Amino acid sequence: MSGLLKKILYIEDEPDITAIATVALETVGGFDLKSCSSGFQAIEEIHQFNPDLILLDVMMPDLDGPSTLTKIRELEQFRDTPAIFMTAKAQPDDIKQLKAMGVLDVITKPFDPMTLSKQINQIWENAA
Amino acid sequence: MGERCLTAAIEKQKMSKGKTVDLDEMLNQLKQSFLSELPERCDQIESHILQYSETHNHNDFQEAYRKVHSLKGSGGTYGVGIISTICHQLEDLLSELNEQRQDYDNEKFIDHCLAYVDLARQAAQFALNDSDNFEAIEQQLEKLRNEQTKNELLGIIIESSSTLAQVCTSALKGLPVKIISINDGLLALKRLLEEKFDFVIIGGKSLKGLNGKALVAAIRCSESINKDINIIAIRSSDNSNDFLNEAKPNMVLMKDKSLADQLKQTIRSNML
Repeated sequence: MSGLLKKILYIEDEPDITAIATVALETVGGFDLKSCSSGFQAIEEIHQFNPDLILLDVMMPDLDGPSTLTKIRELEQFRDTPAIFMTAKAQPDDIKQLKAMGVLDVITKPFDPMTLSKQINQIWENAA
Repeated sequence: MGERCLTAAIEKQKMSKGKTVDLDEMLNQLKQSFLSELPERCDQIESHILQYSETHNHNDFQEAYRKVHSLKGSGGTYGVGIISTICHQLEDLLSELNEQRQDYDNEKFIDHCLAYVDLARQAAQFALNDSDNFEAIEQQLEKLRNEQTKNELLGIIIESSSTLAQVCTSALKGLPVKIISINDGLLALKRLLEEKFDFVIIGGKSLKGLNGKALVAAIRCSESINKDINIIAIRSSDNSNDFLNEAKPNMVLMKDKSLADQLKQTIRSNML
């Protein structure tokens, strides 16, 4: 992982969270954002978007966050693309299990739209 | 919130690229849409709960749980903390069912779930009317919690080590105690400011968001319902003096192989 964080693939099934995250990441953070409403859509569109970072929700219908990440990791080109989970589950065991998947960090919801991009930049820089 | 609101938000952003954006206005509009569409989401949750009570189909349960969980995150993100608090309690209640601590046929259990959904509807209406005084809702929430946890204590363990949290939770199994475990100091503070708990167990080890010392100080200085809550600190080599001197817990337990027994005894003798 190196360089400036520009392109974020954001996977979240809830439109209201996507709407506010779009404001937080595009308008406030200035990132190039591609939002997908499901893990399946993300897997279809990841090649074309070629993100620097994958930011994904944990609890989604059909294909949840961990399963989505596992499938993305099976794609050779994105095997090592850094990822961050977002979750409203703050139980230590849940966080530990998510971190065990090799993600950069786990951001707990609710998030502050004014500081989300700063938080992500911080995680990115710490991992560099 | 439907697709139309999302599309509107994104379109608005595209139009405003290169211009000065009024973020407050944008966020406020999103919040209004969230609140106005919240009753529809409550209807969906209610419908899944009712369907589940009739069919016991696990998919209905999972869908209800997922929607409550996601509303919990959305409420906080949109700055309507009361929605998160209501959903937190409902999520905990649903988790009990999942952990088979509740009877599937328990009508009262379903009534409790539906009462939480009704409270979320009322809170949305209050917020839509620009009221930020949720006192009446908070009182109803407290009443519901008391009915739900009749004769049961509610404790919160705030600890970054999942092993230690597990030791404490296991130690209290068999006692009429329900434990919620959190490893983020800021999230723990938020819950302590909004929900009534009977005791706190804190390790004092470095926590995410807010350290234990600051967390305890914030609770003691607050005007919250947990201002005078019993705090049980777990003494370890990491927090021997500094943390304990400043946090002034009500009880201190040693982190050694007798910890589980100490904790069980402390809760039995002092709180039950």
